[in-house]
Amino acid sequence: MSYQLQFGSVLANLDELLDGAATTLWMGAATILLGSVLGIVLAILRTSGPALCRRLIDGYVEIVRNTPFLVQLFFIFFGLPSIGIRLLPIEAALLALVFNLGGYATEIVRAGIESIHPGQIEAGLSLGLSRWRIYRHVVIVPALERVYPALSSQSVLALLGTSVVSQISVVELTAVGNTIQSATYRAFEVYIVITVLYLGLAFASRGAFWLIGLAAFSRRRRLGARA
Amino acid sequence: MRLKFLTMLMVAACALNATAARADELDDILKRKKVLIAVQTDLPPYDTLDANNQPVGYDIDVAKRIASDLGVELELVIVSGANRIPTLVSGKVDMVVATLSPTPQRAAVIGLSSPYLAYSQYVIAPSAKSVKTLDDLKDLRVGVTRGTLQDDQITRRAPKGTQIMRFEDDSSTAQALLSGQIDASAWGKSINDEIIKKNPSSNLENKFALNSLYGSIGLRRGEPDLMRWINTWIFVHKQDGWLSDTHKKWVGEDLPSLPAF
Repeated sequence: MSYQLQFGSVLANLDELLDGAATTLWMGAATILLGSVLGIVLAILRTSGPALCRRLIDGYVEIVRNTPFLVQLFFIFFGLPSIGIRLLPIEAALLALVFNLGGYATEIVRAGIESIHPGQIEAGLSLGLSRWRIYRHVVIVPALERVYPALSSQSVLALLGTSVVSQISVVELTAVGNTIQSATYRAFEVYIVITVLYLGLAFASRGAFWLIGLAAFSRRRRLGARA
Repeated sequence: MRLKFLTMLMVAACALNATAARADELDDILKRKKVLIAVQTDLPPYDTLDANNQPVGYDIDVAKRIASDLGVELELVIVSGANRIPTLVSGKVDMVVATLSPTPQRAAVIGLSSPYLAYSQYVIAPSAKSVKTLDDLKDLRVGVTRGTLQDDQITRRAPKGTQIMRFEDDSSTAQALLSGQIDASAWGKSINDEIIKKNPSSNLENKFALNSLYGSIGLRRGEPDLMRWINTWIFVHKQDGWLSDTHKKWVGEDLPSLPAF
């Protein structure tokens, strides 16, 4: 038995695949935006908030980093209804994705903040800068710049991680692929096409991160650094 | 363009090298003294896991009996409703015994035996919901397992306005029903009965019969000897009552009469 690739029946459903890719893209973009903001806020609280607050954030980060994403997703979608919280699939998916990326982003940004040498802050003080300006210009922005590559790579991972939410009936790229696959039985062809679409999405988001990096960090622009 | 085509062919050839070399599956099975059979574990009482996490059920007994009648060792491969056909087509197993219903579309992709199983699919929903016909599914969230016959039935026959939600495996669909994330679903009646029995607090009930279904054993296409053997096997165990006894043991009811094709 030899296998012949037949893309016809798969490409006939290209519109649905592109719709799925669009859902993946906007879900990924929303996750990256909300997850990064959550991570930055929690990292600031983790490094300079009250002790109780720090311990709570530590707990959150450990839960996120030490449980599988699929379990987090099922917990929110199948588990929470037991205590009366019933979310739509897309809501549960976004909540789980942001919850997950937020944990990793917190840890990444925290590492960046802690990498700022105390000498830098003392230099700021000796120049007579206010505490707020020191925190903003000497700590946060250089910290973010330092961890930007790690943060963008974690974000691309989050974008690709959206494929898992097909498990709770969200109709994104993988779900559309699986539906076409189950109707046409052209599994190999379907997965070739969605692989190409995911590659496109991942490269596009890497490009976007590179541009945002250039715009946000002026030193990066001068050095011609790569994202 | 031609180069691209050649590369694709090479990729395909490499990926399916394992199956390309086979001449006759039945000989291969007998020679390697092992048969690989795909089963599900998420459709009790036909297939489920026991307290020791071992697959058990009607399908599993059928798989075991096929292996012992062939005189070879059995290796069970656990699949889901959505990936049982791809698993077979890609050469990972010799056959699928997983309540697989014959359809013309499936028959164009794999070989389907004469029925070894028959059952009726019922719509299942909470008793509080008034669901008597397909039309009552309008505006309800109906969950199905992607690529299964319930998916096909509901997708084709439910009225416009039915919100169809597709899950990747039967246990997720059942979980969605139990947690109230969907209003209704459909499985074979004895599968529904099992869900109702195990979850009395969910107040679910069988609503109406959607259709009558048969189950076939799935093989790869172009394996006439193995197909002949399987159909002979089914014929023999229909006659000697083994299939009916096994059905009664797991499902608690007599096996409906099985036509052959």
